[in-house]
Amino acid sequence: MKTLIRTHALNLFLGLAMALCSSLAAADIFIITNPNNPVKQLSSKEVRKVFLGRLHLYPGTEHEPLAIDQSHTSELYRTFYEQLIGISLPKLKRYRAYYLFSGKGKIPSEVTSQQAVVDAVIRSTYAIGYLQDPDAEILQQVKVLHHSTTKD
Amino acid sequence: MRLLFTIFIASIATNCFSEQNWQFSGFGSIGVGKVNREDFQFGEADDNWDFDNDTRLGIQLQGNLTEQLSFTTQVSSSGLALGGNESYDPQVQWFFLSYQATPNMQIRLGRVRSSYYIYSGTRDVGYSYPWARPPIDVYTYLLQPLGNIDGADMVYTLDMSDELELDIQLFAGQVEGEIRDVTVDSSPTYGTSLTLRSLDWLLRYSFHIEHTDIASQSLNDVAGYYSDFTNLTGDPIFNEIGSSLTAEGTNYQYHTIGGQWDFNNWGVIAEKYWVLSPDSGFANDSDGWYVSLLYHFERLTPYGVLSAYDNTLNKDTLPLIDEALADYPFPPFTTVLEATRDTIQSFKAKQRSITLGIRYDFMPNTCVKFEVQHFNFLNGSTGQGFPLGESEPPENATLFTIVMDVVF
Repeated sequence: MKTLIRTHALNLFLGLAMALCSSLAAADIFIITNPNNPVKQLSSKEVRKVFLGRLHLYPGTEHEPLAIDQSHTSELYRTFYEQLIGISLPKLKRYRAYYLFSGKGKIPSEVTSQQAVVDAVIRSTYAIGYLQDPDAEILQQVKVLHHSTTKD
Repeated sequence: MRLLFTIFIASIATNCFSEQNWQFSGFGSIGVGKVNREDFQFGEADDNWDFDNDTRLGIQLQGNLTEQLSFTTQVSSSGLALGGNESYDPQVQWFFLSYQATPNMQIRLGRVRSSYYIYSGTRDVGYSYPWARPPIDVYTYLLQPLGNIDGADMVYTLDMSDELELDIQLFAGQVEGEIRDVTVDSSPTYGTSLTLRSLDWLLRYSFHIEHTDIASQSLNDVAGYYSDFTNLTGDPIFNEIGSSLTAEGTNYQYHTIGGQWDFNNWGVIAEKYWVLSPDSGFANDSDGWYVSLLYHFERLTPYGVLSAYDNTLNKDTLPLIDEALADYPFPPFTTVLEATRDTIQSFKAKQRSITLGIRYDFMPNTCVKFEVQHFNFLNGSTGQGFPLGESEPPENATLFTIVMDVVF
């Protein structure tokens, strides 16, 4: 119970920090998962590997990350891949076609809104998604695995 | 394969899984191609616009049976039929169970695409590469019917640094296929591929050993004549010629190196392969390479490719045939010897080609490519194409292609 309270307090703090910083930075992106996921945090490299399909199990577990993408036409999708993952969208499309059809694994499923990402993460213990500038209430429902601020 | 299917069914029966665990996807290409001359055919393309050369459709299903065990199958249908199948016959290209043993180790059991080249796994998926088709001087028509391995592989990924990974693949299995009337059975085949990759570049080396039987009804018939000639004359030269027409348990080695580099909007892709075969018997020496340069504008990607291909079958047998013709210059020896020489010569191929094209990504997940490929044929061969009619073999040919690729 104490752990849960601590997690919620941390998420609330991150949300407030994000709100304060949002006037200074272009966007804050939070990598989120289900609160019951035993994984506590992910490094930038691990986040990149998850969304490029190169991390098949969460570190130290036997559980597969179920990656969720924002709408492929959204600005957040572009920002996330170009700035956090480091790959341009045209290249990502070619990479995904190559990855998917060469038997290497599945690609992230696509949802159409921030709320849909939250819903999917709440529904599935090992789901992982990304949100931009979520409010504190949302952050109380999920676990933050990584936080990045994008360039202006 | 039957055992694998049983395991798959048993896994489904014993595991609760939702449709969220399953991913259905597909790809397709519709292309037209035409050669600039009447006396030559390249793949399925001749001097009439034809759909068969680059038209393909494929569907794929993959899903989790447990968190660490997954299943993948892919079936595709292609207009280009070089083996025993007919155009557009559905072919199972992937059918395997995959077990994620550790975060860095994956084991696959079943049918997988062979891993000769960078794009071997997605050869049918036009959207995954910049060209109308992977450069044919390396992705040769000869190897196309031998593109699948039934067996197992293991891929271990080594984290080298923050951005660098090394994929080590070991595989073993069996390859079977037909090219013209030649049946090839490589059992066992085994090898490794090593891929060093970052987000912007990769280097790759692949090595296959294939323990191969090669048989052809027409060549077997000819080999029978040589056996008769040996009995008739007692001359061992006929035995030697006859034994070069088939292979039993012959070890062939395939080596390939390749690389890919993206720098800002520029891209370079290059690969080279060579086949090493034994000095005696059915010896097929082959090598090829290509270098491709491309530039990405927003949605347009113009590209160029320089490439070369050489293939020689039984080059050591030709002097023996000349020697036998000199010693036995009368029928039936001349008839059989000259036919053998013609057959061996027909496998000889030496071509150089230059390709220019442009890819236009005009819709999400859809692109169209316009490509012109010019071939020069050397040493009297017609490369990987076939002369039509009785005229002299052409010294060059140009292939025009328009193809639209989609993934869904």
